[in-house]
Amino acid sequence: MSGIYIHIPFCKRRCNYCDFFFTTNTKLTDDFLRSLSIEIKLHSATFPELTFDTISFGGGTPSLLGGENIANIISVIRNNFNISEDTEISLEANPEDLTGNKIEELQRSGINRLSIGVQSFIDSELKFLTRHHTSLQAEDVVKRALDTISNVSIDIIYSLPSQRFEDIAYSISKANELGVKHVSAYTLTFEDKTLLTKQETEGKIIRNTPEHEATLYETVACNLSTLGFRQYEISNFAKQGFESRHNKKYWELKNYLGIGPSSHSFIHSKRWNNVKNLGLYSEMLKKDELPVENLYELTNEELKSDFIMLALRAGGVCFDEYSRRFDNSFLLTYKTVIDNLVRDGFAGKSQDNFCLTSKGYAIADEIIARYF
Amino acid sequence: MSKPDIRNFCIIAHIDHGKSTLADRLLEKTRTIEKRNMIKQVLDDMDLEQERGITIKLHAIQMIYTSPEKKEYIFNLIDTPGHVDFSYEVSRSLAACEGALLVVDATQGVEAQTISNLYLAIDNGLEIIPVINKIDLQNAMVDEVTEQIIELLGCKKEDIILASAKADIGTELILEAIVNKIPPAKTETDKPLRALIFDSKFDIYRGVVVYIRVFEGSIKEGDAIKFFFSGNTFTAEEVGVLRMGRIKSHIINAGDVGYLIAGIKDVNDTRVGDTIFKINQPVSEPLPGYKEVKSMVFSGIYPSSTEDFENLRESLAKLKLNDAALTYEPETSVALGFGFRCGFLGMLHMEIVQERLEREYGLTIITTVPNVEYRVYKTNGEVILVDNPSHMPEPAKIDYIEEPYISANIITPNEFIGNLMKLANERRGVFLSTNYVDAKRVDLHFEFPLSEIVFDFYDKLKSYSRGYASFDYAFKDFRESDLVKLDILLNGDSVDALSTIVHRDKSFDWGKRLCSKLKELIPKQMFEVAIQAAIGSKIVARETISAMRKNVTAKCYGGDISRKRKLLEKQKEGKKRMKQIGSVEIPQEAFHAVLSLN
Ligand SMILES: Nc1nc2c(ncn2[C@@H]2O[C@H](COP(=O)(O)OP(=O)(O)OP(=O)(O)O)[C@@H](O)[C@H]2O)c(=O)[nH]1
Ligand code: SF4
Ligand SMILES: [Mg+2]
Repeated sequence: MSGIYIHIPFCKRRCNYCDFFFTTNTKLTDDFLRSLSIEIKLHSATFPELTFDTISFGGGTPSLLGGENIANIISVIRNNFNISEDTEISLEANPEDLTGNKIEELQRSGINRLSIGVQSFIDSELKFLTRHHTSLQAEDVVKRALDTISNVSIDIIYSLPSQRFEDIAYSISKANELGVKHVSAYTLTFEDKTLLTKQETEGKIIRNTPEHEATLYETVACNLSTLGFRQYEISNFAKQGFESRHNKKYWELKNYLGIGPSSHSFIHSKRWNNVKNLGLYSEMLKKDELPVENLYELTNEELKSDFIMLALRAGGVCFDEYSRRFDNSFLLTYKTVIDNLVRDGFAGKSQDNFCLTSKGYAIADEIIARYF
Repeated sequence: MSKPDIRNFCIIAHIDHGKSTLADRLLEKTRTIEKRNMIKQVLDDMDLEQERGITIKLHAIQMIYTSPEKKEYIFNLIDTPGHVDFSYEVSRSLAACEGALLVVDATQGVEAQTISNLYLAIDNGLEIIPVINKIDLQNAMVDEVTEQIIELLGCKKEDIILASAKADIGTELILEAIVNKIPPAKTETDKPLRALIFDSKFDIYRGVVVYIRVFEGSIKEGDAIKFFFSGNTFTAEEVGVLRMGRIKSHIINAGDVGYLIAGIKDVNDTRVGDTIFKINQPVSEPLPGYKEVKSMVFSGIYPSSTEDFENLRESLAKLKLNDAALTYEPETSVALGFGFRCGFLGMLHMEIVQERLEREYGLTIITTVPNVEYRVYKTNGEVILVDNPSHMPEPAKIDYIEEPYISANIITPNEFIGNLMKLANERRGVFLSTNYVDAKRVDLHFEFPLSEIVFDFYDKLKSYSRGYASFDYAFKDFRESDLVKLDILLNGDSVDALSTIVHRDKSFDWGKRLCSKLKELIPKQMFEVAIQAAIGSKIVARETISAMRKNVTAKCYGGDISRKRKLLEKQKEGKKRMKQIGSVEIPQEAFHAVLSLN
């Protein structure tokens, strides 16, 4: 089964930490929606062998689109691809957009999973992150979403400058109290050319020490697991049965097709991305050209190392899957490394799987760069 | 037709006094190089030389000089380095010449290598032409420097040429002095061939290229030739002269300098100082040749990845062709695997060899802490030389240890004598005598343990004398000292490549500082790392590096895996430059921690 990602490249304003691709010029929406339909249609004949069981709207801010628009996109997709019966259709939403009966509208359009950009349940933190909602709004939206759609995830950002352990613990327990089923918890990162990085260079804010960041990470992982959320990827925690089916496609090296500007695709060992420029994107599609760039077929070695890297960051390496894909034994190839990592508590091993422990996740980059 | 007169000469001086710049002017005046092709210090043709602004290698080049009387001369010039570490290049150049331009910087005056290089030239029986350079500068002290030179050479004031290589002052006078003062090279072409190999290099297309000075007879293409010491025979495939490139001339006659290509594939077949003769005209006596140089500093060189060992061996052999002062022998280290123990004339020489291996041969190498060579008297009567601290016998088997001493001359303005005495004392120096160079400057004579001056003495000397003092040294003898071996343990395992030999009085302090330096240099690992310094079984210092707790980018990249992959590849690249010892990854710099202790 494969996945479809749809990039909606609009936001009202840019958050200070964000380096994603989008525009604030919402006048271009209609033009974009037309281009999106053309792109979907152009792809329709390309992968007749694939069946899709996830559709994920990301961005940008997909919740800026009305329910009708979403319904429309979904129907174009259904008309052009093999879409499975029980497809997960998820959408990223910002709390301030989910007013009135927006949630019901989205549900009617086919959305069955909502991922809400809450980021924090503390007002001062929301202000620091230049978000446009308050903690009360967030609580209210999450409650209503759970009543309607039930499969609700929230995003949390932690390791804000000099964040205290009780601050992050508060947001987590709030999420649990409200009954969310899934939490994605990301470290605040300082990306190039963001306002946040500028503030740091100017000395207005000071990054946390690696020590402090590590402790916050441990707090997040420990609190969530105590509350019954299983860590199934470095930054992702879910109640039983509520893992993001779509995100797992990325981590399990399954096929996924990206639609919309700047989206990424991986199909049959090839990776590519769409152009990161809305004007160019639409222009090319008007000429019936796919807006693809950086098309690249991975070698077997590259596939193998991507497979291991992604698996270790997520649910672990499944031995059968590995030998089926690469025709050799993971256990034998990495015997000493595996034994040592298990012995020292960085990883665990079962009959059919090798995966990192929480302690291992925390230094996953080190482990992967060093041993795999 | 009469053959043109030949003059063979070199340019010698203390470092930076303007030898290569003067060579530029001579090349320009003789139209050996077009003005538009001129770059500064054009003979410094190695990237490293241009980047650092110093000469590392001798450079031979031929010029045709037409005198004001319209007579043509062949000038074979050899530009030499000024830094002490490359003095072997100077001494080899001298043997190919009849004269030397002794350049003295008008703002610095006579310095340590002015004197040492001058004495080398006099020993070789060369005619000396003194030149005071940089007279264009405001702070030139022409009168004082003139006095110093007269004192040193016993020449007349009129013999000294005032020049500025930069402003092209005095260049014609120098050219005329070369004609008039330096004896013409003897051109005994009728004798059997005897040619001296003074340098060589490896050319990827042609194999070994040797640079020769023909003293007697001549060498032509097609000649069957033999090397006196190595005993190897070859056919001269190509001979020629050295201009801005190699120019075929089919023959080189007595008195001239040129190059020879003879299909020499094995770089070990060539040795500088060897004499070439013709197989059908055997000679009984070789040319005087060269003294073997004595390595002063030793260090292990290891390939970063073990499969590069053979590659490293070949590269060292090729490099040695072009750097006769380098010595190497295979060795093994528990920590680093197979590598070579290399001998150098000093720290700069060591640094240059490392850089050339990486740049010219594309290797990634790890070098261990440098050290001097010790003479160890064992209790069983055996005497061994130890150039690798990890080969030091255990204390119970040692009767006593001797370390090398050097004799040093420090030339300094009077006002710094006090400072320098203090420095000498810190470095276990023995003061011997003082000579006055002139009213304001003295030549201090000391003896030092080599290990005390070889690492960072030069920088210290400069800072204790506001840059004015210069020094020169030569090996003296071995003397008994109270020395101990200091080991470094990482998580309990001794790392042989980090062992050092130090004077007992300094050992505790040394251990402490070494541990804390290593703590700075070794990045956090997946585990806690204990760093200990030990003398025998006694731990004298300890530091701990706590375990890394977080190293993961917990950011959602959507489906953008290539970005994540690139970040990881970068981390992996970084790791390649580290050496894995037990479970600890050590960056290259850590092996040099000792050097940055002061
Ligand atoms: N003002 C002035 N500067 C000069 C003169 N001759 C050389 N220099 C400068 O002195 C510095 C050293 O010159 P080089 O020609 O590289 O000296 P060198 O003696 O060849 O140095 P090494 O080969 O490293 O020993 C350079 O910055 C030159 O530009 C001169 O006559 N006048
Ligand atoms: S809403 Fe999301 S995509 Fe838009 S600027 Fe903020 S963080 Fe970036
Ligand atoms: Mg020079």
